Amino acid sequence: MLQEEEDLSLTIAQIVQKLKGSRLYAQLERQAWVSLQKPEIKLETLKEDIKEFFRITGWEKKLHNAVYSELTVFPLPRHPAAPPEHLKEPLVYMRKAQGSWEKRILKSLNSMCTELSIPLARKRPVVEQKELLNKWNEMGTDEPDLSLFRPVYAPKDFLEVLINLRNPNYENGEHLNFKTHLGLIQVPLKVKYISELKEFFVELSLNTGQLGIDDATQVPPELFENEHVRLGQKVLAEQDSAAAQQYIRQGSPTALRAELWALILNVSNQPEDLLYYEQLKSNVIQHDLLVDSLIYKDVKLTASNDDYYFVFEDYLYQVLLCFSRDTAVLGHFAYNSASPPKSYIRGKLGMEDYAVFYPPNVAPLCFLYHEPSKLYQIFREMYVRFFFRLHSISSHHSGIVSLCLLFETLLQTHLPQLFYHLREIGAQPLRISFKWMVRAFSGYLATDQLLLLWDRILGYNSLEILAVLAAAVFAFRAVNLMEVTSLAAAEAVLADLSTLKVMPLLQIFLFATVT
Amino acid sequence: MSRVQVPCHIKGAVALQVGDVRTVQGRPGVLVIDVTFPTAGPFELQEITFKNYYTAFLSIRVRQLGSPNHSPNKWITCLRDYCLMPNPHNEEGAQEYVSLYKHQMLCNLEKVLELRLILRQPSPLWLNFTLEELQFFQHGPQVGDFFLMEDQNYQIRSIMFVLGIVLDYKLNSLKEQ
Repeated sequence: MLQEEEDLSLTIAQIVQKLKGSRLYAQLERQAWVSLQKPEIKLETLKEDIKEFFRITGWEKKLHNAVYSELTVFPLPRHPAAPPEHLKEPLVYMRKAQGSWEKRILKSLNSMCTELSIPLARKRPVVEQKELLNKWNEMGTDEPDLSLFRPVYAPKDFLEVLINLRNPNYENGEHLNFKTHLGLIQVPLKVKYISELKEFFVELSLNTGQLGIDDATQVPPELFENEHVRLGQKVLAEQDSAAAQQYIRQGSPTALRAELWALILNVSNQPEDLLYYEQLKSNVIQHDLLVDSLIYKDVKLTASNDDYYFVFEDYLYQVLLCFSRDTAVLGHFAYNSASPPKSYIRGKLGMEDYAVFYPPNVAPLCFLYHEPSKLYQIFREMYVRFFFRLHSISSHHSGIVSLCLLFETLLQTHLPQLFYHLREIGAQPLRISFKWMVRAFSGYLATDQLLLLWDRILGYNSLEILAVLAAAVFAFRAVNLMEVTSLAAAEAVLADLSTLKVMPLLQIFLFATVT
Repeated sequence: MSRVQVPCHIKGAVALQVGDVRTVQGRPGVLVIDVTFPTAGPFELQEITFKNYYTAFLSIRVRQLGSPNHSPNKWITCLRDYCLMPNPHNEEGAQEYVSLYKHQMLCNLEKVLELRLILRQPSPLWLNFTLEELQFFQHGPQVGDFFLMEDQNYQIRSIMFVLGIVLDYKLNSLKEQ
């Protein structure tokens, strides 16, 4: 009991510390002062009256949302003896692997710089700045020569690093034992069994209405859809983050999705946010980073060629270029196993984030948000909560290593014949599904299906659904996969996912598969 | 709560295994670590902290100073099969920092002479297991405890304490006017 009280007060102290520096704290203080003018606030019961005032005017709700947001994002308070690296990643060998992976990326980036004799960062001349400002909204029309730039790494390279991850204290011998990993991942992390997944994803069960299934044209809307939309509107009126997160587990109506996501991620469009975005934009215009060219190339190769996302090319540049200069993102490195590489701009310290992004992660958001500054906020918040885990090596249950292991375990347990067959023909299933998971399926699914999937990621605050969906896709195409005889043929069977409906697949795999 | 570290001498881990260590295949699943306190006399143990390294279960036996008329000091189990790794085959909890407090123990630890830590790791998958950075603490001086408790109670009372602090400040500044 004493320990729990101490833990609670430690958590409270940490949250206070974070909130004290935030805008919300200043606003609450201002509101408290303003409220003193009101006649109903009496000096004898000052505290109670002001609390009542906050409750009525909705400021208490905002505080609730901010605290809830901190609780979901912030990891648990650490043991006083634990060093900060332990909070980022408790397992020593994973930290080492992440460190060497980062070194490799930086080395590759630096060698590219010296080869092409382009500085990592430079200040733009004034003429160039003016030019960029003029065509800020149409950067897609620019056609710089990017043929010499090559991508720093591909998902395949990252997969190779994960496959070679080994725990030095683990029995990695040649002999088969009861715990030999037949898949590619060889580290014994904890992953959920299907019974635990059924409990975790209980709102996806067969008895509960889902958007993505129960809003099909054949189903009369009075059964589920109308009520669900009404409930969504009520949740938005209440402005309660926790309720919104619970609500979105059953899917979000298209009309309400943008606001619901903003509410769950606790992103509000204040004038200060617009100013922040403008500041980042001016940073982009003043300084040119090597990473910018890599971003251009990446976007040109991927999103511009995609049937759904090419329209958003300009938005993508605006968001990603600003993102690479945003120092607020550094805050998430406290619980991310990676560390930010630094680059110097003529003596002034500039911070650089990852060398390569995955632009399709931004592209689906363009369907929801039109203003660049709000789009940017949402993207940044989604990145620091979820998507960074897909690019760094860690033992977190939503990290990419755990997702890969979860996928392989599910497949092995529930489709053992398929797994064995694919392994025998040299087509390890993870080689095919890795690229889906590392991009959170964006670019592979139809956009409306993708947004339904991301609804659940937000609702459950976890990326494990990506691994479950990957296994469900294999289960769905199992009959065809059993007949293939090579890796290329297996990839061909699974090449096109754009016709898949995500929610029925998940429901069948979790709740209706006979084992 | 303030606490004071007690200097200790930790003997190397001894594996308990049936049969000859050299000829028998397989790794030992039980290790024993003896801890003595040569410089400190019998003291009251408050807290034990350590960093786990792949130990699944921990038991602790303690030898205390008995009263003068009783028979020589006996060993008593004060912690039995405390679980450090929920699944001995997985990495969960394998490298965590842990604190054990006297209220979690089965008996009073008033006059501790020495401790014996019994580590168990039933899974054959791990090459080694042990506890690192072992530290033992006794009660520190009591000044200021009362005020700390008051503060904690205040904080625990409501989640709106942020407002409480703001309002207290305002209340005080208004009173001064």
